[in-house]
Amino acid sequence: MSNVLKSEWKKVHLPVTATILLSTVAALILTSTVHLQYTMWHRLEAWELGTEYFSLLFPVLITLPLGWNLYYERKHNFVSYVLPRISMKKYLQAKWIVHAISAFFIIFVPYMLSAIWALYFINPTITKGVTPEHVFLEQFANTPLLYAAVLSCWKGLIAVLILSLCFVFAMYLENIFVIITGPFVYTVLENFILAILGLEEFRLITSFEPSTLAVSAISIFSQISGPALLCTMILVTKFFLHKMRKMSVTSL
Amino acid sequence: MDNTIIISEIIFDSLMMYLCCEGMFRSSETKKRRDLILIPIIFLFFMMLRFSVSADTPAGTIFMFEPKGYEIAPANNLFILLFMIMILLFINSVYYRPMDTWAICGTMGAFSIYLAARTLGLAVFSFDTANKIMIEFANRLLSLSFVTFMYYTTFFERLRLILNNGGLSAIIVSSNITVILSTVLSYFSFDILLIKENLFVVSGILFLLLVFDSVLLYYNYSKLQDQKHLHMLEQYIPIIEEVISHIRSRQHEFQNQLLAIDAAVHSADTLEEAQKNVSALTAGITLAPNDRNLLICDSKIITGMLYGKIQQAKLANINISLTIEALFKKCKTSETDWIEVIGILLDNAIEAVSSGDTIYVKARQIDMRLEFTVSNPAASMSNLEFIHLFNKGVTSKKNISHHGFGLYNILRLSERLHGKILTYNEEIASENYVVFGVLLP
Repeated sequence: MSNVLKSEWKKVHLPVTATILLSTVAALILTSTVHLQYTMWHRLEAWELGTEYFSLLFPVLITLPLGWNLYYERKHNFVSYVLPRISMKKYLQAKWIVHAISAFFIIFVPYMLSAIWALYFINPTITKGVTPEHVFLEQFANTPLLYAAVLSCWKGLIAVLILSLCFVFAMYLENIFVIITGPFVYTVLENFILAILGLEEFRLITSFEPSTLAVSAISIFSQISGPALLCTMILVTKFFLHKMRKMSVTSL
Repeated sequence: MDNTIIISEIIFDSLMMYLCCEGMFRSSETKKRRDLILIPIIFLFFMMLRFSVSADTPAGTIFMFEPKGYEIAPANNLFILLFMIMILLFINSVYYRPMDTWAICGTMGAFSIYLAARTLGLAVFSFDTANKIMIEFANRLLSLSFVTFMYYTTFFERLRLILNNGGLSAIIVSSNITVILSTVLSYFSFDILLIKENLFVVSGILFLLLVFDSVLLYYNYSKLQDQKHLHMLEQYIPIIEEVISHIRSRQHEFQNQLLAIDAAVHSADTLEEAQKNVSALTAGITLAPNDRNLLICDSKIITGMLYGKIQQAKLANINISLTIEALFKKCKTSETDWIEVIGILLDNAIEAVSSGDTIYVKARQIDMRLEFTVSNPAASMSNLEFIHLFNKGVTSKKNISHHGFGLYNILRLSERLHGKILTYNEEIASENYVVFGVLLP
C-alpha cells in the first residue's frame, strides 16, 4: 500500500506544492495589506480579513490541482492497466488518501502560516476599548494561535469533504469541467439557496468561516450542518451515478 | 431602479451571451433549434448574479436586484465575474460537449466578444444625458445588434476555424480581452462613472488588444494555410509519383517503338514501303489526352488530385475527359481552395453518373479568371432547381444527414473569393449534361 501511496503522491506533488506555495504567498500578501483599510481590535483580525477571498475560492484551490488526475487516468485507460496489479477498491482508496491529505494541506498551510504571519510578523494598529462580538471571543483574544490552528484544521477537514465530492465526480463523470468546477458550483448554489431561504447559519461557508455571521447565529449545529449536507450530497451523488446510472470507473 | 427595467436589461444581456456562445460553439451545419433552451438558462443565471438579499432591515428580509455595476459585464465584482466565467464554462462544456481545450477557448472567446461589444457600445453612448435608462438600453441594443450582425456573417465561422487549430496563440487571443478588461473593470471597482471618466484609457486598451489579436490571428491564419498546403502536398505528391511512373512506362514503350521504326526503315526496300511501315508503327504511340492534360497542369497538387479522381472513376467504369487550358498557379485563389472546389464537384459528378458514362472536366482562362466546370449526364434542370441544390442541407443523395454541404460550401467559398457559380445544361452527342462550375479570380 505504501508504494501505491508514494506513486500517487508522485503524480500530484508538483501541482499540489505549487498551489500551496502560491496560496501561501497570496495569503501572506493579503494578510499584510487588506487590514490597513480596517479598524482592528485584535491582531488575528488581519488574518481573517486577509483570507476572506480564500473562503470564497477554496473549492477551486482544491479541485484545480487534484481533480484532473483520476479523470485523465480514466480517459487514457490507465486505470484498466492498474487492475492486474491491485484491486480497484484499494487503488482508489490509496488515491483518495493522497488527494485528501493534499487537500488538507492546501488549505491548512496557507491559513496557518498567514495566522502566524499576522500574529508575529506584522504590526497592525490595534484599537483599544470595547471589543465587538466575535465567535469564541475568549480563545480569539487570549490564545489566538491555538484558535487559528484549530480553525485551520477544521477548514482542512472541510477541504477533504470538498475533495471527496470532486473525487466522486472524477470517478464517474466524463466532463473535466464538471469535475473541476462542480464542487465550486455546489458551494455557491448551496450558499445562494440557503441564503434565500433565510437559513444562512447552515451554509457550508458559515461552517468554514464562522465569523461571517453574528455570534448568536453560530452553534455546534450550524458548524456541523454544512459539512453534513455536503456528506449527504457526496453519498447521494455516488449512489446516483453508480447504482442508478450504472456508471463505472473504468468506463470513459 | 424598477425591477422591470432590470429584467429587460438581463434579457438583453442573456440574448447577447447566448449569441456569443452559440457563435463560438456551433457551426452553421450543427445549429439546432433546441439550442434556444440556453437563453432561459443564461437568463436565470444572470438574474441570480444580480439577486441580493438584505436581511435585518426594518421591513424584514428584502430580496432585490443589484441596480449598478452591470453596465459592461454581467457582474459587479471580480468574484462574481470569475464565478460567472466558471459557470459559463460549465454550461458550455455540458451542453455543447466540446474538446477540453476548445471548451476553455470557446468560453473565453465568447466572453471576450461580449465584453468588447459592450465596451464599444459604451464608447459610442458615452455622452451624458438626462435619460440614463434610455442610454443603458441604447448601449445594450447596439451591442446586441453588433453581435447579431457578426453571428449572421462568417465572423464566428472564421474565428472558430483559426482558433480551433491555433494552440497556445488561440488561448491567448480568446482570453486576453476577458483578462485585461476584467482587470480594468476590477481596478475601477465596476463603477460606470469612473469607467466613463477614463473611457479614453479603456477604449485605448481595447483597441490595442484588438490590434494585437488581429495580428496574432493573421499570423495564425497564414500558419494554418501553410499547414493545409503541406498536408495537401503530403497527400497528393505520392500520386504525382504514380503519374510519373505511368509516363515512364510509356517512355519505355516509346523507346521500343523507336527501335522498331529504325528497324522498319532499315529493312524497307523502297521509300514508300518505309513510309507505310513507319505510319503503321506510329499510329498507337500518342500520349493519352488525359495524361497530356495532366502534364500541362501547372499545379502538382491539383494534378495529383485529378489523377486520383480519374483512377477512382476508372474503378467504377466511369470515363473522365480532361481539358486543361489554364494556369491554376496564376490565380489569386489558393491551391487549397481549388482542391476543395474540384474535390466536391468531381465527387458529386462521380456519384451522380452510372457505369460507362463520361464526365467532362474543363479548365480554361477567361480574362483574369479561371473557369472550372464539371459536366455529367443527367436530366435537364431548371435554374430554380440548380439554385435549390446550393442551399444548405439539400441533396439528391439517399443519406440526407451526411450530405448536402458540398455545393453549399462551394457557394460560401465563391462568395468569399468574389467568384461566380456556373450552372447550365448542355447537349453533348445528343445527350443532356448538367454543368456545375465556378469562375474564380
